Amino acid sequence: MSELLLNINNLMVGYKVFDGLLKVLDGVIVKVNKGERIGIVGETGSGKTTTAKAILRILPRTARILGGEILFQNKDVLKMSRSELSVLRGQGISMIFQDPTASLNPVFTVGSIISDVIRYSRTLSSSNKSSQIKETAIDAFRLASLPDPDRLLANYPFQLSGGMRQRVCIAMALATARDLIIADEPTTNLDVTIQDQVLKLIKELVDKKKTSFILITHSLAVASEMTERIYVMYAGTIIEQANTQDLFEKPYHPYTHALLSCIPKLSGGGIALGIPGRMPNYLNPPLGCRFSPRCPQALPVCEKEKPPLTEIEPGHEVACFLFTTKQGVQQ
Amino acid sequence: MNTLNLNATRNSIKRSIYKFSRNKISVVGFFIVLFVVIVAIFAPYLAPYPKHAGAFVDFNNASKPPSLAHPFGTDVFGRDILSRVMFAFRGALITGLGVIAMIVPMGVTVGLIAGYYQGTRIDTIIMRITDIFITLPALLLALAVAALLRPTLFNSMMAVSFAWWPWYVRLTYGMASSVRNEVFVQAAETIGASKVHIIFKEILPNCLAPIFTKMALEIGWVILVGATLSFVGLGEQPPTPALGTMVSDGSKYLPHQWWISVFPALAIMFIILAFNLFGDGIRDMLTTEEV
Amino acid sequence: MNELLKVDNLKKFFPITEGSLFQKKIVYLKAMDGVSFQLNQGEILALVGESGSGKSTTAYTIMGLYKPTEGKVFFKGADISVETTKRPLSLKKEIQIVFQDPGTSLNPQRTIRQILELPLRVHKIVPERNINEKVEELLKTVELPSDYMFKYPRMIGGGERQMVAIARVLATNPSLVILDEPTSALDVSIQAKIINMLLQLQRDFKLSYLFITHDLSLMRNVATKMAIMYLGKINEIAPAQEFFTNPLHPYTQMLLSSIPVISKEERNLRPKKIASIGEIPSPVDIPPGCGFHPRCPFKLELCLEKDPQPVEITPGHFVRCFLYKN
Repeated sequence: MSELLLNINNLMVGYKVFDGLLKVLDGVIVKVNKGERIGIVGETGSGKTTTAKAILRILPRTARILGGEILFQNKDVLKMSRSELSVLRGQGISMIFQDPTASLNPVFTVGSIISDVIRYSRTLSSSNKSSQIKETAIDAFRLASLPDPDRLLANYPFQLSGGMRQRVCIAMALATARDLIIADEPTTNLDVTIQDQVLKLIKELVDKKKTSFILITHSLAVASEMTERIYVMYAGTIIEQANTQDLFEKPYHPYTHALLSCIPKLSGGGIALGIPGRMPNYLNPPLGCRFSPRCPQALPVCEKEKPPLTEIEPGHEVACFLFTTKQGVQQ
Repeated sequence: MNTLNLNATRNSIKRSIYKFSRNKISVVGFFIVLFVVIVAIFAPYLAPYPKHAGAFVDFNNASKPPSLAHPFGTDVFGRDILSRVMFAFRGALITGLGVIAMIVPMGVTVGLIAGYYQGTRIDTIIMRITDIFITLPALLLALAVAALLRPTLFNSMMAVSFAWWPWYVRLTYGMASSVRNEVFVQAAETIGASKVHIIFKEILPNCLAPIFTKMALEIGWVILVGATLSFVGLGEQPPTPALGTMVSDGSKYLPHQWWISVFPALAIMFIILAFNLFGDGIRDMLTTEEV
Repeated sequence: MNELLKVDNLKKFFPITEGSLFQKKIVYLKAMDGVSFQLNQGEILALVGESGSGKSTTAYTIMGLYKPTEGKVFFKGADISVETTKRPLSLKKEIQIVFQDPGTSLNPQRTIRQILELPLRVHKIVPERNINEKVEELLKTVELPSDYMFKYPRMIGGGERQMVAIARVLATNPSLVILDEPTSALDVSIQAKIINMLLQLQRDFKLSYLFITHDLSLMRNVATKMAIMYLGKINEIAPAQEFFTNPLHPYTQMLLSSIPVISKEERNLRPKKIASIGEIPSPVDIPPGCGFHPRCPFKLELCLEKDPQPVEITPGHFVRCFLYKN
C-alpha cells in the first residue's frame, strides 16, 4: 500500500485585485504517494503554478487562502509556523522553476548559490564546514551530469548555456530535498534537443533518489514522457485524473478530449479547430462547472452545480456530470 | 460602440485616481497646489490689501509686526506682506509652469531624435552637447545668463530654461533609445511608417510616464531657482512682488523685524513642498503597475 | 510554378569585440552562413532550427531588418537585398511579418484601432472616411469582436493579441507573410485556433508563408516544404511528405527523436532513437569542418576537416552530409 506523501484537499485560493477577488483555485484535490511521479497539466491561467506555490507557501502578497488544506506528511502546510516552513523548504520539498536565468542570481557564482542552498537547508550536521558544503555541491553537480564540477563552481550563470543553468537548478533541488521535488515548466525555455536531455536527467535522478515528483506543465506530450499519473486542470479545478496511459487512451472529460485533439501529431492529420470561448473571468466565475460555458456537451445541471471529482474506473477520476451524479456516484 | 470607449476611459481615470490617492500625503500636496493656483489667479480678489502689491507707501504703518489686520505684518514701506506674498505666487507659478512649458517640448523632441538615431553620429553630437550643458552647475549658469540680460521675469525664465533643458534631453534619450529597439517599432518600420510617425506616435507615448513625473516633481525646484534669481535682484523688478526679492529685502532687518523675510521664505518652502508631494503622487499614479 | 522568394547564399555576420583593453579582437558571429532556398507562390516553407541556428536572422534579413553581409534576396525576380529604410513603399506592402511575442510587437500605448489603422494609412489602402469600416472588417476576418478596436493590447489575452498582429499583416494584402514562431508562446488550444485560421487565410487570400519554428510536430500538419537549419546553414531541405517519411541528416533524425509525443503510433513514427548529446555550440565558435560533427553519432574522418555541400538525393530533397552521395 503506497504511503500518501502529499494530500491537497479542496484547496481554494484567490488573489486580491483592484476590482475585487480573483477566485482562482476552486477546490483542488491532488494526492501524491511516496516515490510517485505525477503531472499537473493545464493551460495558461489554469492555476497550476498557484497550486505549486501554495504547497511551498510562496504565493505573492495579494494571494488569499480561501479554504482547504495541504497535508504534507500529515501536517497542514497552511498552518505551519515559520520555523516549520523553513525545515519544509530546506529538507522536505524543493522547487525547480521555469526560467533558470531568473532563478539564479547573476551576481553570484553558481558555486556560492548552491552553497547557500545547502547551508540554509541544514541537511548537514551542525558543523557545516565549508569543505563539506563544497563536497556536497560537487556531488550534486556530478549527479546532474554537469561537466567538470570543480571548475564549474567558479562560473557565473551568464557563462553557462540555458541547458546547463537548468541543470544547476536541478542539482540544487536534488542536493537537499529528500521527499518531494516540484518542477514548474522546467524545460519550456529550452531547445528541443536539450529539453530531451534535461527531462531524461530529471527522470533518472528522481528514480534513483526515490523522491516523489510533481511536474507542472502545459504540454501533455512532455507529461506523457515523464509521469505515471496526470491531473488535468481547468480554470482552477481538477477535471480529470488518471494513470498516464489511461488518460491518453481513454479520456473522459470533454476538455481533455478537446485538448488532446488540439495537439499536432507527428503522424499528421491536421489539428482540431481549437476550443470555442475563453477561460472564465475569475472575478465572476461560473457557479457550476467552470468548463460548462464552452462545453459542447453541457447539461442544464452543469451551469448550476459543481461536479465532484469521482472515481469511474479504478484509478481514473472525472469531475463531470456526464459521468457522475451530484453525490459523486457513477452513472 | 462609442459608449465602450467612454467606459474604458472612465475606468482608467478611476484607477489612476485610486493609484494617486493611495498615499494620503500626495492628496494633501494636490490640495495645497490647488490652493496656490487659486490664490495666484484670484489674488486681486482674495488679498486683503490688493493695492499694496503695487506702488504704495504708508510710512505710518511701516514695519508693523503680525497682527489681526496684517497677519504677516507690514514691510518697511507699510505694505501688507500677506497680500504681497499672495501676488508673488503669480510670479512663482508663472516661472515654474512657464519654464517647464518651454523646455519640455524642446528637450523631449531633441531627446527623441537622439534616441531614434541611437548609435549613429547624430546621437553622439546631440548627447555630447547635452552632456556639456549638464556638467555646468545649473544655478551658476542661470545666474550668469540672467546677469547678461535685462532683469525681467521673462528673462529670468529664459535663464533658468537655459540651465535646465538638458536634463529632459537626457531623460527622454534614455527612454527613447531603448524603446527604439522594441519589436513594435521594428513592426512599424516594416509596415512603412514614416520617421515622424515612429518618433512621435510610437516611441513618445512610451516615454511619457517618467517625463510627466519629472515635470511634476521639478516645478518646485524651478520655482526655487527663480526665487534665487530674484533674491539677487535678477528677476522681476519692484514694485511687483517676488518672493525671493522679499526675502532679500527683508534680510537687512533680521532678526528684529523677522516677519519681513520669514513669511516670504516660508511661502517659498510651502509651494515647493506642495509640488513635491503632488509630484510623488503623480509618480505613483504613472509608475505603479497593477493595483 | 511562380517563384516568389529566392534566397541565394545569404550571409549575415555580426561583429563582436572580444579581448582585454589592449588586445582587442573582432570575431564574427556567423548567424547566417550561406543560406539558399526558394519559395513558390502558395507554398508554406518551414524553416526549423534550435537556438543559434539562424532561422530568425534569415527571416529578419529577408524582411530588411538586417542588411545582408553577403548574398542576395530576390522577390518576384527583383533584387531586394537592402534594409527596410532603403526599400520602396510598394515592396513593404507585399512582404509582412508576424513576430513571435504579441506582447512586444503591439505598441502598449496604442489602441487596437490605431494599430490596425497604421498600415491602412501608410499605404492608402482605403480613403480616410472608410478606415473605421475597414478596421472592423479586419477584426471580423480574425474572428474578433468589433469593440476590440477601443481596447489596448494589455486588456486582451495573448492569443487574441496575436490575432490582432495577424489582422495587421493582412491589412496590406501581402503576397508573402513571414511568421516568426507565431504560436510558440501560446497554449495548445489557442495555437490550434490560430494555425487553422492561418491556413484558412492562406487559402482565401492566396498567401505564401515562410514559417519559422522549432516545432516539428506542428509543421507536420502545416508545411508543404521543410528546411532544417543548424549553426547558420541549411542541413536538409525537402518537400514535407518526403521529409517526414525519409529524414536523412543525422541532426534531423536527432531532432525528430527528441520530440515528446503521446501516442504509440507517433512513437513508432520517430526515427530510431538518436540520443541528443552535447551542448549546442555558439555561432561565434563554430567547429571546423561540418558544424554538427561534435554531436554527430555517425561522423567520419572527413567531417572534421571539410564542410559538406548540398546534394540532391531525390527530386527536391537536398541534404548536406558526407554520408550521402549523389
